[in-house]
Amino acid sequence: MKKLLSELSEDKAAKIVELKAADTKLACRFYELGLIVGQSVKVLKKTSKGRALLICIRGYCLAVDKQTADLVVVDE
Amino acid sequence: MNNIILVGNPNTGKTTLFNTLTKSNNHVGNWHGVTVDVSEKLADIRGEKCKICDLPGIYSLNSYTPEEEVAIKYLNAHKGDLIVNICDANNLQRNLQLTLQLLEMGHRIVVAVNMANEVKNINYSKLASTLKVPVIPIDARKKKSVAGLLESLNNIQHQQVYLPYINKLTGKIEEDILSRYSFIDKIVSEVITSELKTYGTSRIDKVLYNKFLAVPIFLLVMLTVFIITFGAIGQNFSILIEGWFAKLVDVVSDFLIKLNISPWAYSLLVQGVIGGMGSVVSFLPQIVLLFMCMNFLEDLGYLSRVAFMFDNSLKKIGLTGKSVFSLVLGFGCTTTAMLTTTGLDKRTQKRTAMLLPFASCSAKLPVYALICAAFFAKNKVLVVFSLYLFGVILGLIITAITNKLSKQKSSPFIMEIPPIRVPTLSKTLKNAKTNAFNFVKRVGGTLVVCSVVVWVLSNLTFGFKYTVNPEESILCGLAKYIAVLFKPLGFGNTWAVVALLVGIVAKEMVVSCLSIANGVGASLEALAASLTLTTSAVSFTTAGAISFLVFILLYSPCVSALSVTAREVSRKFAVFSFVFQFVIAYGCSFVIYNLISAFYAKQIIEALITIIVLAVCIVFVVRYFKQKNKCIACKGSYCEKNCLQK
Repeated sequence: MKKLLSELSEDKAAKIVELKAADTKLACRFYELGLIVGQSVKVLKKTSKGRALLICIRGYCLAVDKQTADLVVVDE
Repeated sequence: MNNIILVGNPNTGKTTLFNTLTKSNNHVGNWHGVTVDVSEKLADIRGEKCKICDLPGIYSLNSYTPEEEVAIKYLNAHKGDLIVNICDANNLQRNLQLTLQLLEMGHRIVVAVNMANEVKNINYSKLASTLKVPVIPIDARKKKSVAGLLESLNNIQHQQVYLPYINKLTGKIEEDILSRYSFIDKIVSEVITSELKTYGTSRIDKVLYNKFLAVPIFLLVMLTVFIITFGAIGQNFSILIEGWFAKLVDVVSDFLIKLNISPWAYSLLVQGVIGGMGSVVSFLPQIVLLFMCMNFLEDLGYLSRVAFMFDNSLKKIGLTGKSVFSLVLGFGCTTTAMLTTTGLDKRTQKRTAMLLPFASCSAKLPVYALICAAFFAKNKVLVVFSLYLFGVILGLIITAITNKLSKQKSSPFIMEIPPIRVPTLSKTLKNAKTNAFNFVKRVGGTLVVCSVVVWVLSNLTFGFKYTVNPEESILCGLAKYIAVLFKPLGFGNTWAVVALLVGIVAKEMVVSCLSIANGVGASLEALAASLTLTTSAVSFTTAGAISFLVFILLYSPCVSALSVTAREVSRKFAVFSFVFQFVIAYGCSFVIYNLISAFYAKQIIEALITIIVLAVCIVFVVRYFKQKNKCIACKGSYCEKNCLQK
């Protein structure tokens, strides 16, 4: 089921299916950090109301805010 | 040998290796983006002198932040130099992206896999044969471990490395990164013999991120930092150093007396110059202890975790999680808190620097204690608490309004969380020493100059003649004129104004200045009692005392804080901060004094009129700025399409 990365529950993993980063620099940063289509990603922790997320990607931890996580579409 | 450039992802240990190779003490931390500029130093590499350059961390050769731009420009300008590409053994997959890009560009590189001691399952010889460049496992902190790397630097030859995916590169960033990742996946499957441990998911992390424990743990950590820095340990160190300094002053005084120099020159040297140096020295123990604590927490990886936990709440007022530490430390000392804003991005740094003076620093506490002892002896805890709370609430409201009116969109928060690493004592001490040295270098000169300026103002007459009578000094003369401005605030008294002016140099001096004015010596009780007597040189009414307290709470930060602001943010911003705090303090004191006076005089209508006039003024100011920032094209106060047209 397709959903935004920010909507993924804690401890759930999913595959990235789309990146909606309009800002090319931000998109570029996503790719460099391993946030690419087909890559699996796991949500480790969410702060209250899910405004910031801690995700695990390619074996390391990345903290992102909700606005950034909203640009990543995943398939659970 | 050519120059050697240290390149790698953020937080991979470039500066640690730089320090080991060059015997330097550059600041390092377990936190991305510690290095923001290029550092160069000559080093002796196996008998040959060569220049070693430490670049800010980069994820790829596409710049995203100003620091990355600096690094990439430097790399492009030094194409023939030898590159030591530092990779983190814990995160080889992502680090190899940059390695491959460097090879594609035809750079001569040696790959140094740092923190190799933490990961045992990497086949380095296989990695070297696949990449066709030397791959050396290192622990950048240890000299012995770096020996293998130094040896390989002598033998490196220039050769174009053939990469099997090179024909698939299209020039489109996403496609190229995908090609590289598929090659990296192949390499990793061959060279990593068992699955790497995912960091950031340890039991400690689970406790630190726990929604019930995160805030109490943070408060406990901050309390510990406060106790160490501003409590008995810090104070005892300060007393010890001040004692040594006092002895030094005695020796210099005796020497000057023997030289038989004129009284004014003696006073200038002892009170102005040496006194100014004393103010720097008195800060040092607290600065060293504060930086020791901060470095320890930074190296531990706790700072990045706190930034993540608090980012959510602080974003609402235009700050990021990284500001939390500076804000909390602001209650101890604005100067030291301002120093900790260095690692923040420019926009967040400005916002944090704007909010910091609203956090009441510990130097203001003696003034609160004095006024409360004089006027609110029964409710002093409540009054002091209200002052702290008022400062915080006002600061948050002003920052939130500024954020609302700002055209700038908050930057996306993407931050790598480093693993928890217990730092060594020697590293923590080295970092603290470097920071303390930098503090003296940056602020020391300004403080001494300011101290000399205050000496000139308080010891010379308008005719530039030396005087021992403070009433005849330029400072007192100026205060007499300025005092008129403070009449509407309820303390238009010459000595109260002198105390405020001296308080700009150091807030600690306000009480001693009032004590000199009323001639009651060092007794706090006697001074407090004298402030209630209308016959004293300085006295207040109850409304005037509250107004004075509010002014002390909000007016300009001290010279050392301003000079740090000028160095860390900009001179323009330091001037703005000075004027802005003064205006805010004046406005708030005016309103509070008039409301309380009206209340005491049972002039409720006058009080209501004051409130209404104030509300109307605020509405007009907010509307003016909103109108100023409005985009004509999209009719919004914040233009999403960045199509601002005035």
